[in-house]
Amino acid sequence: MIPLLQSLVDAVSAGAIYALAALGIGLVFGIMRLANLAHGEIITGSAYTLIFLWEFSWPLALIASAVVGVVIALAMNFAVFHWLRAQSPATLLIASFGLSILFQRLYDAAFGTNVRTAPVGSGLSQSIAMGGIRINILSVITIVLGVVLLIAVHLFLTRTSIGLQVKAASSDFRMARILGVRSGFVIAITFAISGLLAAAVAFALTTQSGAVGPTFGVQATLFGLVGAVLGGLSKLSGAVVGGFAVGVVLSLFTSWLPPWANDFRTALVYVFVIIALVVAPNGLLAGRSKKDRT
Amino acid sequence: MKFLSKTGMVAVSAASLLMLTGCVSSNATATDPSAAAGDPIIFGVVMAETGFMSPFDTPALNTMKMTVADINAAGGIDGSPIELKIIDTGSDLKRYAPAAEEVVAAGAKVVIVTCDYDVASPAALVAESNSLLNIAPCIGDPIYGPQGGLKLGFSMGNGTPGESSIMAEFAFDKGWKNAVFLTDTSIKYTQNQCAIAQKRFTQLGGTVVGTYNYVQGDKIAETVSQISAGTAPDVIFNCGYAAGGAQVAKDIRDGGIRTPIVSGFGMDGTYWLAAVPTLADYYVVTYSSVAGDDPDPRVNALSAAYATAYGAAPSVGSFITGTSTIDAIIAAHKAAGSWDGPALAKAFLAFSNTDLVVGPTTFTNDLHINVERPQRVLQVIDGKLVFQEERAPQKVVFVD
Repeated sequence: MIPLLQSLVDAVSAGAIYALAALGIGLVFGIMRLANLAHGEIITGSAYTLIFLWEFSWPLALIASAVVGVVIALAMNFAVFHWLRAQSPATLLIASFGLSILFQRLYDAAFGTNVRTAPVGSGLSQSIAMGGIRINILSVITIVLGVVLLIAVHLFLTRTSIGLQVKAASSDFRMARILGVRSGFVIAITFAISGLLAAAVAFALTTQSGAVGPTFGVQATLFGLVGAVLGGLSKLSGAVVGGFAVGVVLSLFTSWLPPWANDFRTALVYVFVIIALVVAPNGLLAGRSKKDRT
Repeated sequence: MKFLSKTGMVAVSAASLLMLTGCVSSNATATDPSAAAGDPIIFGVVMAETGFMSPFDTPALNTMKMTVADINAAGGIDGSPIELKIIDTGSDLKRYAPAAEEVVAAGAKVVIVTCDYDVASPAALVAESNSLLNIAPCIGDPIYGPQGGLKLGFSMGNGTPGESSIMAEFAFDKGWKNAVFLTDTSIKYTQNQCAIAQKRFTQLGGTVVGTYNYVQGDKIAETVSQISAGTAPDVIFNCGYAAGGAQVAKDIRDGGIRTPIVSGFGMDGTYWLAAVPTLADYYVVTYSSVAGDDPDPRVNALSAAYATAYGAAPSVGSFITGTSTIDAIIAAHKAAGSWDGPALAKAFLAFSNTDLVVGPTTFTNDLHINVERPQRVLQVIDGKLVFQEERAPQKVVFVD
């Protein structure tokens, strides 16, 4: 039987990835009320960049991956979401779904259906044994990266002028505009940061798999989004905790469910999320006030 | 029945190489009207050049184009060129039946379908309802045929029972007695693959020390922990297909498990190997070796011609099934003397160890697929798939 401590290590590792994905999704939702399903395609774009450039120069690959993430996120904003700002969240959601499909087809056309592969961070994906427990180096890095990025985003939002504008807009977009916050600029900054966060997720996932295909970022985004909703999309910390919780629960189900039930582990995660949302409809850590976007 | 000698096939392929480039650049047809004066004979092709099935369909489709170009260059069939009317389904299940109806309406004499039964069956059923022969180049499930209600349906592929039996026998003969089975449950092919391999492995006296399921896209760190915590296996059967199967291989090695791994055709191809640069002790049972080291010189010649025509060697060993599909159809037509579906099917049922580049081919009333062909065991060495041995199943077992 799998040791409990090993199971917890695996669970924390899985949770860290989805927490990172949820952070990027939650940030954009806070400003735009947009549950961006196309966040996965930002991840995919950054991941392809890592794959293509890694063996040429890994520092260049990391930098280019971040740049690509930011560029795709900004392009999505300026090409689509900028024009839909006054629309309902449902309209934005559908638009992001369309963008997601469009980008998947573009990746398919540009890079083919077969996965593209490269040994991205291959040394980091190895495991080390400590006291009978196997610890994946990448998992440690992902957890640290998640914590660092969360703190960095928090400091940005609370200690910088631009960040305060973003935070103000996130709290009450209409009032912030009346008080002179440049809405377009704030939204662009938010998308740019979400692009950077997507690049971080891309690095973790690409190091894990070494292979990228057109739908590479979909699963992480889906679980990240579900996690963000679970934790409460209106609060960044809620989104992160929710994303982490979804990863942990999925991992624990995989480890501990009996074989006859293990094939239903993903469905059971959604059952868990549904029950949690019935108990706390706005999310486990959501604020009380309902926020509107104009 | 022997209709193309080995040397003849190589000669025809070599002679027509120069014209291949022009032909393969056209998606819609592979016809050379100047080569024959009669009306084109249309072969409807309902396969995936894009989407998740394309890694398996495209190599076979490309060799179909090459073979048709060769035949047309040599005068076609009784003076008429073959035209491949190709519809790319994008691997979308909903598009198979309409695509089949379209090629039937265009006058297709036979319908050639994609390499997975679950996906191909809507197109095959359209062909059946129009009394047309329908051929799958590389479906592995024996249900493609009478078991699946397809009286006129045949697969040129290697049946999963034979492939999976070989996987088990190869592992057991290596002296590996304790096995873990990892099954991708997303498609029937991989489910049957592990079920049959497990059955054959235990028949031989092997012990199953663990069975785990996953689906495409899963990371299996938890399963790796469970394997590590249990009885150490001598071999792991990874019944999957890339890219999900590659993720599994990577997770196993990243988790520190160095046990030999055996897979089937689903993990054929080198396109995923760069993801696991230090991968070793990994074995794949498949149709052929594309690297020029196959024991059959016809395979090596076809692989070289493919590389010339398309700029790279085929991605998977099943590329040879495309050529064999066309060759088999023409042989059946010659025997039947018509394009009538039931007549062609009767000619197919007369195949008995017929020598095709895909291997000796036999069809029976019950089984429209080959399960006893010899296959190749390839090993991953330094990021390449290297031929190890040719092996036929000692005993073929079927899923319960």
